[in-house]
Amino acid sequence: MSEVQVDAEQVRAAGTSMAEVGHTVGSCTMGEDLLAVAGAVDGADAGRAATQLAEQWQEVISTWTRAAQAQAEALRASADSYDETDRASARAQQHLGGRLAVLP
Amino acid sequence: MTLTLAQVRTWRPQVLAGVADALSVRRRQLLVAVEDLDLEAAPPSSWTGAAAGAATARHDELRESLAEVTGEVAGVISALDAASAAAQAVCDDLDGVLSFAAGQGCRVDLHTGTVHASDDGADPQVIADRLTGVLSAAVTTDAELTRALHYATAVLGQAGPGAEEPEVTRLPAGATEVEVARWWNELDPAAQQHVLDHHPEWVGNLDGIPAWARDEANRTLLPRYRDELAAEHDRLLDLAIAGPGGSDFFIRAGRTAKMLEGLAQIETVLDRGDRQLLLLDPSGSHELRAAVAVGNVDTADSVGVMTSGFGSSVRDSLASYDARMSSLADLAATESLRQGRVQEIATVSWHGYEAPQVDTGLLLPSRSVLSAAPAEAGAEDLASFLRGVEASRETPAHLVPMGFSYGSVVTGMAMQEVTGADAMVLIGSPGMGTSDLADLQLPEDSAYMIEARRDVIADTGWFGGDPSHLDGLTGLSAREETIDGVTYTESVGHSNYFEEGSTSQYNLAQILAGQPEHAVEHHGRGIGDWFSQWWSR
Repeated sequence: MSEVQVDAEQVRAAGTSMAEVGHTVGSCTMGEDLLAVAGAVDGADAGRAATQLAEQWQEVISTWTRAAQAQAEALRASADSYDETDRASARAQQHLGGRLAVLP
Repeated sequence: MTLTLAQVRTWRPQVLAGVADALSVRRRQLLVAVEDLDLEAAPPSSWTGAAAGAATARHDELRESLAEVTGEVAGVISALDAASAAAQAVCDDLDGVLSFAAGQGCRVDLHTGTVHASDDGADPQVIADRLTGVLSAAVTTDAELTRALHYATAVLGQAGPGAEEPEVTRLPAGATEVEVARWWNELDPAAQQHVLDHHPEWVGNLDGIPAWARDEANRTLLPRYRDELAAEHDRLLDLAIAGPGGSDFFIRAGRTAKMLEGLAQIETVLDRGDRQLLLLDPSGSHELRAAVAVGNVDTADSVGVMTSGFGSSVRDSLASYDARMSSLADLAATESLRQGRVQEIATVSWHGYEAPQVDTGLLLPSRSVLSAAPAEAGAEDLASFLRGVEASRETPAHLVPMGFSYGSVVTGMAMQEVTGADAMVLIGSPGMGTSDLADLQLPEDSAYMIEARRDVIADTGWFGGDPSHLDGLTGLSAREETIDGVTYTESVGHSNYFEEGSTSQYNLAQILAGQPEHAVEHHGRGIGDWFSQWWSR
């Protein structure tokens, strides 16, 4: 079993930053920009190719954003879990300390 | 879909530039996001354990895919900028031609491209030709932008997190060129792109793969090889300075430096544009191997493959061979047009073997110019390359291998295998590895030679006899000739066969274009051949 070291606050901060990055990337609506190509080159194959790529970009950005939010949630959940484990361990130690106090 | 001038007339290049600008803003946002991923959102390095490992792996995957998307956006921006400039030039040209037509009193139907002549006799054909040129430029602009956009689509299809890796069946070892072509064609576009992105070394030099894919793979590999060779060079120099065996390390470092200079030459040639990098191999013991095409080998009607000779190398010779091949392709296309045939021509400078050099290798049978060993090794690879060109195309090309000097020995030997070649030209040849034309796997009457006056190398007949004495080889003139009122110059000696305006270049162009009936024949025999006929017996 591997050794575990963790600063839960740092993990939580990483999760918060990840959520912000996901929000930034999600606002990059490159696909919408690209749709203008089709109207600029009437009759050209490039217009259809640009539309196809625009849809692809929308999908990729959307998928990436969801993955980033999932990662952010996972990091924050890990931090919460570590905090909870730590609190539970502390309670156990305190409880044990109380029982040891009654020993002669 | 067929593009019309009426549609081109409505193009708005400035919109393409505007989209490029908007995407540049988005790209900067993405770059900041990538930076934030690194600095703020990465799992803390002090965090250890299984969960930390999983989180880090997921983070790396997200970062890699976002960086890839950002890179592809940059590629699309470049393509849009280029397309905007090209489309603007097309629109300006179209305006110019239409103004000219109006000035001549001609009327242009933009839907059909038909030019209606004026009453005062202005030639509508001149205007029609110019309009054809404008439309051709528009089609090219469209094709280049479309290709860039399709490329980005294919790459991004694999870039997103969680995107499935396409299934790629590995090619069995020892596959023939035809089997290679079949394997490639059976991969779907996403799998092909996956191979090009993640395993370019599989296909860059693989005969049977289409030229466009080899080119893309080798262009990906080039900077990688440069970095590896530079690191190897530094390592060898350190070893040379550090301890025993220093001189050997110095020699090896020198070879590595030569290969690096060869890579730089390749980049210079590729920068000339309209080139395909069909072979790139730094694994040789002494020389970098490479092949660069002018034009599109996948679609050209005729493909010429020139093999270089003694003393040639990628570093010292590629640029000049490439320039000669570019001129030859232009001339072949022009000569075709003169005969009423519109042909797309491609030519390849093939440095695919380690040509004998002026160095200590002269004393080694495996590397000496007096030995057939380097030619035999090269011939096998050249034959495979030629078969690969044929196998990878939808329809066969008019395929013409040409060999200069020692390269003609390589070419002659390659022609003793089945390659699909339609004609062969030996230039300043000291022999073709056989004195019997029946050994050549070529159609009848399609083996040619050119020998200039005072070409002493061509008179040696060292490798299977002097070609100018072999029955069945058709001699092409390198003398001064006047053809259809144009005087072409004579080539004298061993090194002037490719001169602009020379008869020998003219004749090469005719054979390449598949018009041997317009070539000028000459047996090429001179005083040197009087002697060589004796030792050729």
